[in-house]
Amino acid sequence: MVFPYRIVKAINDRTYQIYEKTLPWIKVVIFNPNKPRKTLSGLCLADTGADLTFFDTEIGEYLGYVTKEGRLIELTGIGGGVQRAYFFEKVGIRLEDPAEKEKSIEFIDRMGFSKNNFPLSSPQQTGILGTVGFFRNVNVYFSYPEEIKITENTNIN
Amino acid sequence: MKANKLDLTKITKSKSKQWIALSPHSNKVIGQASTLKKVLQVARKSKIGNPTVFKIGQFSSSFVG
Repeated sequence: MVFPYRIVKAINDRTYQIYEKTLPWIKVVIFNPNKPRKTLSGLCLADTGADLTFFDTEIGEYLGYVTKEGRLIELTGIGGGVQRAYFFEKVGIRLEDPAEKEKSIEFIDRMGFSKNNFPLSSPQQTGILGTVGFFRNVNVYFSYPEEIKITENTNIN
Repeated sequence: MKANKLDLTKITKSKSKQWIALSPHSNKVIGQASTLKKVLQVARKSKIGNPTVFKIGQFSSSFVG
């Protein structure tokens, strides 16, 4: 299935000028395998440089996780900033074909929910899709600036 | 497939309205609120089906890594 890159057009917070950036933000459906009827569609950053996959704390609460019962892990960014998140062994992601032609891809993996808010300087505050939780489950082909092609990774499943 | 435009220039950007709901089949902004629960409530009132949500931070010319 093919997802579009998003051309995000916004007002620059510093200069107040129009800001336009082409970003790999893709729509994923997040769910709790223990309470699968409640799902959430969120626009998240496909970040090949991230080791782990995690979402905003409110998403975990909405899906019925008691986030503080997860395993607390510190994630360090390239600038040295630390983000803490509570991780669970079973969080689900479903990828639905935007063209509604292909069968959905669904997997359950280790993912987390942030302890605090994401750094305000980050445009994306919803979720970071990293290797564990996302990229190890799918094959992803980035064709900047237009599309991101995703298929199921059958190497480990 | 062409990249998909997401125009956020008309939304009110403030710390108290970081959650945004989009129409499921387009990039139209249908709601904005301070919490996920509130933005989902706003979206449900518009009866457009299951919205896509996201939370925004700052947009600046600096690079993210």
